[in-house]
Amino acid sequence: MKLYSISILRFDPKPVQLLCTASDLSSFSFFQRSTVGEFMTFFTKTVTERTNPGQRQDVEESDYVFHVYNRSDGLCGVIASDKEYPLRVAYTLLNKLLDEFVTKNPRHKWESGAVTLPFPELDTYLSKYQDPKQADTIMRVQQELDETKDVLHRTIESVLARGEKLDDLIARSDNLSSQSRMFYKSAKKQNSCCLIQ
Amino acid sequence: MSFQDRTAEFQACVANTRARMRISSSNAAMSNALQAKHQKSEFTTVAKKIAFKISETSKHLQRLSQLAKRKTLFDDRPVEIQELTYQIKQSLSSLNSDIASLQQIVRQSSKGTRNKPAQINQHNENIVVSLQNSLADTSMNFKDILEVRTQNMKASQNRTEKFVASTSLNTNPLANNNSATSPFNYNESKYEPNDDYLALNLGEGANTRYEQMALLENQTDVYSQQRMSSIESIESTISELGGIFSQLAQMVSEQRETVQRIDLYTDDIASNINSAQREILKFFDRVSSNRALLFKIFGILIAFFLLWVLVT
Repeated sequence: MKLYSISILRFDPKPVQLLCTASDLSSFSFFQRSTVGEFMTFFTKTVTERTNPGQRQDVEESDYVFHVYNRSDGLCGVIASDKEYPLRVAYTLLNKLLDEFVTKNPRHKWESGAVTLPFPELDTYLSKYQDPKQADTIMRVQQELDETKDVLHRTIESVLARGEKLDDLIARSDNLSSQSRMFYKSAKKQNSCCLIQ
Repeated sequence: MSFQDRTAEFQACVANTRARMRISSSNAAMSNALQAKHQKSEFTTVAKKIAFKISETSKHLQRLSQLAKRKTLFDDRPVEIQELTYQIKQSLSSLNSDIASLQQIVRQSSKGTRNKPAQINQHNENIVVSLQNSLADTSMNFKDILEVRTQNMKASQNRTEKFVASTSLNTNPLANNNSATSPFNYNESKYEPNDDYLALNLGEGANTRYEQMALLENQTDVYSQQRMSSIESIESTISELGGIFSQLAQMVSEQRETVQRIDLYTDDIASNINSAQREILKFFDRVSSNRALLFKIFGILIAFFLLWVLVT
């Protein structure tokens, strides 16, 4: 499950403009990287142009899937990932990123012309979300719940074993109790009966 | 409001302060006083700004509550509500950070200048506390309004369902988005109830509300359904965990009875063995003391024999 790249583009004033991007192409061999990078940029732009505002789309292309979210305020975020990456996490990430981007760079900075704005959080997010199970809250919660459930199952098994041992203990202590009573009676009998000659 | 002419009082105050300023003639005291005033004014300006922002936010909040309370089916203005919500959220978070920085200022100033009377520090701290309280009130109101809005949306959706029986109204994403505005996703700003829907031309002069909700883009459908299903699975896991815990508790309480029985038995054993030990001790004493008795008896018998032999 890998994320290849994240990009934020401007959709609204018409020529679609790439505002910032971050990519992780380490899984490709050194010589392939530039071609793959270019292919991804081109595809990102194309896919953005084909998506209407207020719409989310997934586009599959050979090995990659492009998740596009075109927000109605003119910004558009694209994530290129492999096919196994869960959709929901990708869209959650897009939402978060676009909101942060908008708070950091208010509208007038990217509204006009061909601007590229720096946004270092993209790289951190890209590396963090390579493992969606840890980064996404919902998945992490689910994972912890599963672990807890596992621990509880094991606890219940050990409680059952404890129950068996307790039953065993009851039998043995009952046994011991009767034996000690016999012991006491024979000791008393020895004491009270005839004197030793 | 009745107006009072207090110019004379004002002029008297001005004359008073001027006289006081002239009396405190030493430079150091003057500069100190000025510095203290500067510091105080820094604090007060920041505090004033924060209070102003809080009042603005509460004004927005009032507008939002007005919009949210409308129960009309047709004239809802989702874009405006959404923008307002977003704006209020932003201002709340910025206010939070501002109040935190104000607190820092207060702490620094209270550590720095010891010559400030404790009352001023106390007063500043009180101001900070009251600002925090008003911010907390505002955010509580915000949360309430969001809940009211989600309830109204659900109610209006039910009503539209009654009218439109045949269109493929997919209620799930909407409900999901409602739950998304609930505290679960409160801090992730997933307020997108309406901006993902495409309009469907129903053909007979349908209302804007229908057009908004009638046909949903497939992708958003998939996304929100996925979200809802993952949240549902978390819910079910949590309830399973609750069941497991109660089972565990029941088993342990059953075993408690067993443990008490074992306890009784072991008490019996202990007492039995103790008494048996006493008996044996007694026996041992008897046995060990018997010899002494025998010795004494034999001794007396031998003495009698000797007497008999001597006599005869």
